[in-house]
Amino acid sequence: MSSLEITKLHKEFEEFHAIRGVDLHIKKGEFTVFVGPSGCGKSTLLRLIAGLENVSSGSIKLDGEDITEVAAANRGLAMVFQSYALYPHMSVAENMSFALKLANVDQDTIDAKVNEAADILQLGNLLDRKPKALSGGQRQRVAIGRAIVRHPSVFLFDEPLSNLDASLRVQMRQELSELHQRLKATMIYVTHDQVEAMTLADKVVILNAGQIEQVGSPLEVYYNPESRFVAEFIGTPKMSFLPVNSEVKQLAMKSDGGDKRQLAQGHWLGVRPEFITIEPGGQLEGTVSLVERLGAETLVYITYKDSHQLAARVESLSAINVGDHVNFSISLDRVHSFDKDGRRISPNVTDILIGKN
Amino acid sequence: MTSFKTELQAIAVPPMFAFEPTLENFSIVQERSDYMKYAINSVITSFGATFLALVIAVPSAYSMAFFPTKRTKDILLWMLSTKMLPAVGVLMPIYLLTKGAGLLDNVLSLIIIFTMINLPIIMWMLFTYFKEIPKEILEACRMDGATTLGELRHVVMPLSWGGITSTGLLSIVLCWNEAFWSINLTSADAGTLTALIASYSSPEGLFWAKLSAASTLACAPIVVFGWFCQKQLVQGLTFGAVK
Repeated sequence: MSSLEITKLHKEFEEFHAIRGVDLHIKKGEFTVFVGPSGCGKSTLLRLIAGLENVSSGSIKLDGEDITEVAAANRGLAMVFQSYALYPHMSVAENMSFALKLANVDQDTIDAKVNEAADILQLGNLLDRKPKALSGGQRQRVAIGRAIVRHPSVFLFDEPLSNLDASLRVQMRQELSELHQRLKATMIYVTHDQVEAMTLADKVVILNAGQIEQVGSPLEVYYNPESRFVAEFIGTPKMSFLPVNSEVKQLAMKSDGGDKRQLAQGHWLGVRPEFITIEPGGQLEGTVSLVERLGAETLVYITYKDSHQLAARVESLSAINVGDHVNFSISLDRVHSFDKDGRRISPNVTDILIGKN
Repeated sequence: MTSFKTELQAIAVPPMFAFEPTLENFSIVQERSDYMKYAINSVITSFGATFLALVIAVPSAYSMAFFPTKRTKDILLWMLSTKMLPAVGVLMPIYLLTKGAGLLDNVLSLIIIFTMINLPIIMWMLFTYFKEIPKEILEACRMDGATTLGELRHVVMPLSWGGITSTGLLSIVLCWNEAFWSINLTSADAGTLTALIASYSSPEGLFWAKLSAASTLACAPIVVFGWFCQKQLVQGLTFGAVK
């Protein structure tokens, strides 16, 4: 278990500035998730921490000790790869014990550790198999087992679940969560799947174009996105955006929280689907362009003023159909406003919500 | 077949198909020059050169396959282009260099030259075999605490063993059959079997039957060797075709 301190980290490839000044502190035992769209630099950041890429400038400290120039082999970190990267010519047991053998650990200790890891991951009866005789989920377990036996100071996961099918992914996600509870180890996890980020993380780090957009707990980033980018990225369906026009402005002024917000032309209001209510008395009007019935809930997409689409979450058996003209209202106390550059200018929603209760 | 005929039968027109086989050519060849000495020279040069080439090529192919730079492709092409140069073109400088180093008629010079000749092909083959290994496996190995040598020993070599052995076998066969340099740079002491064959096509005349006998003797070991390694060779050459 270790803490990690990243300062002013930059990584430049030949023609591409992948990481542009990242500062981040990861506490002991924390489960940190790097999330962002593809190409945002999240995997590169993980590889820099692992030592698989050279840092262009900046520093990485592990428990206060500078490891920026230390070779990957000597950092004492363990990594689980998206493609599992098992050694195809070794059995499951050999795969898991390889690192210990390299470290000249005696055979009894190796056996004990491999068996312990095999118990945790339910791999006991597969120890003699070769990776090619395993299913995707089993392979991923072996890859995790390979990390566990070493008792690394930090676990690094590079999109470990994205090669698995949907149901297995959910199961493995829960297993990873349990594993973290059990080992209480520092873990860094890279994913582009925001559900994984929300469910696993103690701390979510949202990256965009090589920079950190926001760091916070899953609920913090959900309720108080600091930028339009984060607001759009976290949450399914996405947060909807309305341009601030006279109608919206008038509405906002009338509501409780309205006067607190600086609403000007060119600003945007961001609304989560659950804060839009379709009701006959709603002050805004629109046309239903799409209805998605998911079973537990139904999502209604409303076109407002011919150009802006808003997603609303309604009751599962709602009778709304495509083409209907509907009136709707917005819970303005839970709405965010963003300026032209996409920065949030409204106060934290959680502060307001907590204040109300 | 000609090797089992007498000299007269060998040059008969039309060629004879029914004849009484004789082993006299083989004994003449053996009498005139010690077959074993040439054979041993062939073994030393081909195995030595192959070993040396592999020792050089494995690390270089490793670095080219896993740490490519902008120039890697150019270097590979350049290496291959050296194979396009006619050997005669560099006969003079190499002959003089060898002479200057005092290595004429010495197996060492042949080993060095064979190594150089086959290095591009060996590098290319190893490069393609190494390319087949997913990069993540090596990274995993590095994360597990392996040094570069450890990576080579525990992961790269075992995973491309089929490729390395078939490359080695190919190199041995190529060295064994190499005639140009062995004829030009050696005579009695360091001559290989190809030089032995060539000695039967001499200014004093062409001895068809003895030439054939010598050829048979020269080819036999490598044919037998290839026969035994056939499985390995085929496996190596199709390595990676079916995952």
